[in-house]
Amino acid sequence: MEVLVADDDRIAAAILTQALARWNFGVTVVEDGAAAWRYLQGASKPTLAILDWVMPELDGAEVCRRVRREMPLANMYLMLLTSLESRAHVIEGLEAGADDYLIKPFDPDELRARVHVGRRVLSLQEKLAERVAELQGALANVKQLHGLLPICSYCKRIRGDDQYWQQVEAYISDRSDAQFSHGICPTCYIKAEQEIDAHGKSSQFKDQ
Amino acid sequence: MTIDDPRPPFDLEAFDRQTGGDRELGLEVARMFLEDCPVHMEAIRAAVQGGDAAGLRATAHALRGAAAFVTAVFVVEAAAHLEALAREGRLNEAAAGVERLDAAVAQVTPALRQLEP
Repeated sequence: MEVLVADDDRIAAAILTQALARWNFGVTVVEDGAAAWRYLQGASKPTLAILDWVMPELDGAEVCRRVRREMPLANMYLMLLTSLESRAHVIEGLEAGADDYLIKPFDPDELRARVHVGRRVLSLQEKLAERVAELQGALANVKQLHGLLPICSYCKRIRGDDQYWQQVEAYISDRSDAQFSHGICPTCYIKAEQEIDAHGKSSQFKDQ
Repeated sequence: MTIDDPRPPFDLEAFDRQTGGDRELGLEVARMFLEDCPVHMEAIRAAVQGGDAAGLRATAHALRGAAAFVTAVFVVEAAAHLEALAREGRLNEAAAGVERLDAAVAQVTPALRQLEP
């Protein structure tokens, strides 16, 4: 997974880059908030970003606000990493749309654990999005069987949109993944037997 | 001005931990700090002389962040003090703050130079 690091302090960027590489993440470094915003706008995959707060052009909190406002469905995990350590800043940062907030200088073990939380959240969101897409596909099939169906009271054929009358099973098979196996229910079995018997007797009568 | 504090100006153990025990990275970071620090100090002095509170706040903040990564605790504290003075508009006290910062930088610089093999 690629991680975006946005920090105008080259020392912070160097330490972060090295640490993330040790943990097998790819790293892209930008030095200001505008570049971070451009990168995030073009991201097509789930993205984890570590953003400094105080940066030229756009600050990290504003980058978070723009992502949440203009890309509300984007699968992005945003971490603010800053030396602004007041409670008010933590609250403001999280309310701006950051998923996590860390104070500089970071503890490497804590950062690793938090980055892995981010990766887990992104992975879960991606799986959830896939399931939603599958469900939407299934729902589209189900919708084809919705609505008022014109059915013949005598032969039970259904009239399709093309005005042709179809057997119930053909109609349903054409509009869903359902398949039919043919059998006979007990009631119809008795009726059929009676009809066959009656037909047999009638034939015997004619033969005589 | 000297800083009368029993704590060391630079914590090698914490620095090693910060750089993941990577000696090469540690050296690179120390070199970057030694290069960048005079630039930040120059900008801080210019901001104080020019009465530029926003500029002082930004440069003191940048130096504080960099110093935190090299575990230069006195530089961090002196830069944070200047940042607070700028935030509160108390620039008349900033000259003393710059002196304190100068002393802190003078203390940590030799320790960082000693990292060179």
